[in-house]
Amino acid sequence: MTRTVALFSLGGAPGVTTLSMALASVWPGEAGAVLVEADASGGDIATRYRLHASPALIDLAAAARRGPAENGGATGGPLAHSQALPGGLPVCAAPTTADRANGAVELLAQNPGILGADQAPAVVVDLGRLAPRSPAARLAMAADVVVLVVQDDLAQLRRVKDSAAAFREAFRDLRVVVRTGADSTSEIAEATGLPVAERIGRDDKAAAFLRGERNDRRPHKRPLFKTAAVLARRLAEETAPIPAPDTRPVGVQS
Amino acid sequence: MVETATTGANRTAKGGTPPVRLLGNGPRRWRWLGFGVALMAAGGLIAATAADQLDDRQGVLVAGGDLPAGHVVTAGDLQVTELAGTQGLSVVFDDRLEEVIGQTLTLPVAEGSVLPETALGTDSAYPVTGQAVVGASLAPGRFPTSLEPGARVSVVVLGSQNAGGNAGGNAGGAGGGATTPGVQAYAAHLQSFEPGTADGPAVVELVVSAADAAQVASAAASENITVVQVSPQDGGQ
Repeated sequence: MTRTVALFSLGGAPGVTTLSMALASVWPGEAGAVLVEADASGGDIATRYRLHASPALIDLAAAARRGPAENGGATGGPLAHSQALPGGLPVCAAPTTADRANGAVELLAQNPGILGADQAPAVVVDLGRLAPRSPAARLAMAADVVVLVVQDDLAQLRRVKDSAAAFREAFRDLRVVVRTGADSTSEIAEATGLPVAERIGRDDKAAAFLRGERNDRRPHKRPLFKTAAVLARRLAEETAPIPAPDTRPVGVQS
Repeated sequence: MVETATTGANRTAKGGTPPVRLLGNGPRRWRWLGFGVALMAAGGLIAATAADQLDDRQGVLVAGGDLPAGHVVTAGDLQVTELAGTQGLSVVFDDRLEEVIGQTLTLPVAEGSVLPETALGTDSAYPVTGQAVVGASLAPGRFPTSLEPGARVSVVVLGSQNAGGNAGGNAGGAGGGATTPGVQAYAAHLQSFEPGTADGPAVVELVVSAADAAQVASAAASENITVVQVSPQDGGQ
């Protein structure tokens, strides 16, 4: 059973792609996780790592549209449409422009089950910024675990607080990861009404490493990867009680 | 439903860090390449310097021609050659060239041989105390043709009627020896030797004991001497 973890933000670029990559790269187990960059506003990974145009998210979306019947009963999942980054992390990268990326995410949202089509233990989906009633929101609702990445910033936290009720209804298992900031974790949890699963400090070197701008011999020593490893282990091991799938559109106030 | 785990709840229970399935993809650091090249250059320089210091060859002065004792050294007499392992040897290094010029040799130096420190002296240091230099002209047949400057010789004074026991005693005391009555021999060094023309006399300069100088000089003036070359091991006898 493939475990799908979807990461998103409510705006403000708190580092969803960075955390998604870190999370997927340290996913426990031999097989690890597949990273799907399903950012409707366009992807960065293909450019940063000079990947080929195909196989990528476009191919995965096309396979999702055709469905298993038109693919001879066997549809490859994200792993079948991914390229390996240096180091071995398989990535299904989004197109760089928003129009093509948005189309691909829309097709994917029509058949989110394809994310679990191959036997990868986990799929980490980078949804970027989530808009209400968007294809990305439908993908998030289909995921096993949803991780909201938020900057410790008054406006951002207010946005989370106002959306908390809608999130509780829409998502099976929501975790909140707070990046940087001086507020205490309990204060944030109190202010937003959601528990904070993890705090991630500022780690510019790890972020530069993930952007492909810096070499690092021992990335696992970096705080960002250490925190990501803790989070990944928890996400992989803890199985939340799964309520009945809720297909109502997500009412995100932004 | 919302997960209720809070920060750090499980962190202490889980040790070890999993490998990161990513490798550095950053730009090549050309400055490291430059650093490597600089390091190689520095290593080469150090090795060259070390090798240079290990090679302790120094320039030493060598006679450019046969130089007799008493000769005043000029720049034309000297050559410089590179020599290693000169510790403990009596040599003169080339940095003392200026100082050596104008000094007097107290020993003869053959062409191509190293100029010994001990052969250098000032004018006042030659001849040394207890020795005297006597000039003499020798008729052909009164000297062996194998004579060379520096040879150890015995000066034989012929027909010295008044020598008697007195002169013999002196000669004996000075290391010379009178072996035949009326004939006396004196130990000497040959300082210089200029063979004469076909039948002309050869001119020699003899270094003799100061005590013998008068005897030898007077005999030389009357052309009553014969020079006999002896083995250096015989001590002039």
